[in-house]
Amino acid sequence: MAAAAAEATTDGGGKMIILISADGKRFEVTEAVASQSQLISNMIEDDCTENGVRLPNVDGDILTMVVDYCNMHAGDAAAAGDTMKASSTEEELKKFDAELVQALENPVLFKLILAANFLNIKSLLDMTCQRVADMMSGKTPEQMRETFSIENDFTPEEEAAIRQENAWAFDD
Amino acid sequence: METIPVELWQEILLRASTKDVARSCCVSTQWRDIVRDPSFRKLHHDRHATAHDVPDALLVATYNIDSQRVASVFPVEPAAVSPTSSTRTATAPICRVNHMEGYRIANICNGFLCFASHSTAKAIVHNPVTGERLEVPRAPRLPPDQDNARSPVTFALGFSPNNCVYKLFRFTNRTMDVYTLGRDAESTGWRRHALPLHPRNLVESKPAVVIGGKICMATIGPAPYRHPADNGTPGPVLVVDVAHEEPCTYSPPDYGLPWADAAVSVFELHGRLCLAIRTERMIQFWTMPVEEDDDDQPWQLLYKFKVVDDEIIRFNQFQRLVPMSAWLDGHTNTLCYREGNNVYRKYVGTTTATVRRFSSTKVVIMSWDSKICLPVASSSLSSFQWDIYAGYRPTLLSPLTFASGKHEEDDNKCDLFIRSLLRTLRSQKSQKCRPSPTSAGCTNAKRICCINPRGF
Repeated sequence: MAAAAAEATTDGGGKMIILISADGKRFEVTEAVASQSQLISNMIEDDCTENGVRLPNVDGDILTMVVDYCNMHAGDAAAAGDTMKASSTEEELKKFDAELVQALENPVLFKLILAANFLNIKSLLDMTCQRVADMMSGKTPEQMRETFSIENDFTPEEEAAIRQENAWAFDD
Repeated sequence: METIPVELWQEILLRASTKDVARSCCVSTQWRDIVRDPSFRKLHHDRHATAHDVPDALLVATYNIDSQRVASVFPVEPAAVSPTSSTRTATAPICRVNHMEGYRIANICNGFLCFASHSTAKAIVHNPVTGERLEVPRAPRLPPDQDNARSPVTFALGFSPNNCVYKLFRFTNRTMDVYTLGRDAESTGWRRHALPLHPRNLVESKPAVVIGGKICMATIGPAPYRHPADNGTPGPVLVVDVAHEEPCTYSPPDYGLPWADAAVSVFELHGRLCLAIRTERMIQFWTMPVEEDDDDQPWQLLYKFKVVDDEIIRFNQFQRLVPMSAWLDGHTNTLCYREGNNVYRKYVGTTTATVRRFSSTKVVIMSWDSKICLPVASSSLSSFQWDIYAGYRPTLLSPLTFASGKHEEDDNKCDLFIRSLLRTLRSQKSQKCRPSPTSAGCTNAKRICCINPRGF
């Protein structure tokens, strides 16, 4: 995966940026790819990417996914530039996105959300949050707690009251 | 597992459907607090009010309880069954609305029900999910030539998805009064527009539907044989752009029997306007995209059903024509048509977006998949009325978000008087109390406090 990322950088112009994950893995990407992250885009503007960008909140395996995503979506972000990279068709992108989030276990999905939020990549955050929202569909509160490992911290009275308030949403 | 900060749960819950959100707030106190936040509800509303999911149909029943008029609101089609939920609530209403005599449901717009009283020119915007209601300031006097019992008056709540604005409309055959809901409402207030000159006859009993920022209303054209006030042929469809407050009219489709009586009803079908036309022996469904305006014949015939012999309507029966309504059941992708105490259903699939522009003769006559006979209300339930209203997309947004804050004082002189009465009474009392704050005075006050809650 990281190999694919490195490959994509060889044929394009533009400066290269090195991203360093929490566990020390290094990813070399073009500015166009990296600047889909608003955080890194700001750093590029401020000219502080010289010695690589350390991302202490993001693990290597998560950053691999993020870099894959950004490489895939670099086409639509840098559409103004010429055809240095054959931009993927919309259908391919949709398929790629769906496959990226569909197979993820919850802990990985949540890490990806946190990374997307930290790096401020709006489209990735949107997609991953939507995936979690879809997982809530039709579930009872008990099932939601189980799915997302959330503890019930209501008193029985509180829970009865809030259920009563929302009774309309519980019909069969 | 990673801990997701509250802002990210909010981002996630914003993307869940209203019903899922309502259930999710029973998960934990953190989620409850997210969902209770009015700004979350506004964001959630704005995100989902423009969605294209199939709206629900509601059964609205009105009846008297202890001489008070009550409207109960139920979902017609319950949502997909969740495996562990109980059946206990299946017949519970989403809400009960107590309202004054004279109010009638006008229409449904997204998650709000609009009730209106024609005689007092007032309307209430009600959210059945939160149980909250907003009283809209009284509409101005009707123009002299429309201010009589024979002239129809129709209220309709409209929504513009472009700027997420709700507006209340009041239509007569000649005029359109508009009021924008929101904090700035008091400065703009009610304003009046003339409707373009066109033979038109509004039908008070037919609720307007709101599709893609347009209010759509069926009207009745001249009756071919009988008195003009009787139900006649379908008149032009009035389509009003909510954002620009611009009305336009579309001639009714050519349903093939211009000389015969027909009844008509409008509803939303996959984001398009759909017109159900009931003639003596036929029910036709015509559709039109509301965003197209420069087309001289925008109608397309979608479905055509022949009625069986015992359901043929004789001409004289049209005057008493039983309530009719049509809607799409999004859970089963079924077209539903109600006429009196019968409901007909036909599976139509998940989309009509790719309809070809076929001529009406090429549409095959179909038959219904099923017919359901509904129970008839006994004569002892004389105050009982019910109807089905489509186009409901639940929201958690409080209608009080749109309160202008000023109109209550303007509108309710009794409240004002009571306030000044109390102020005077209490000022007298405090003057008396001040010279000798005895212990007796304190116990008195306590007793009053105790009595009051019990009294309520």
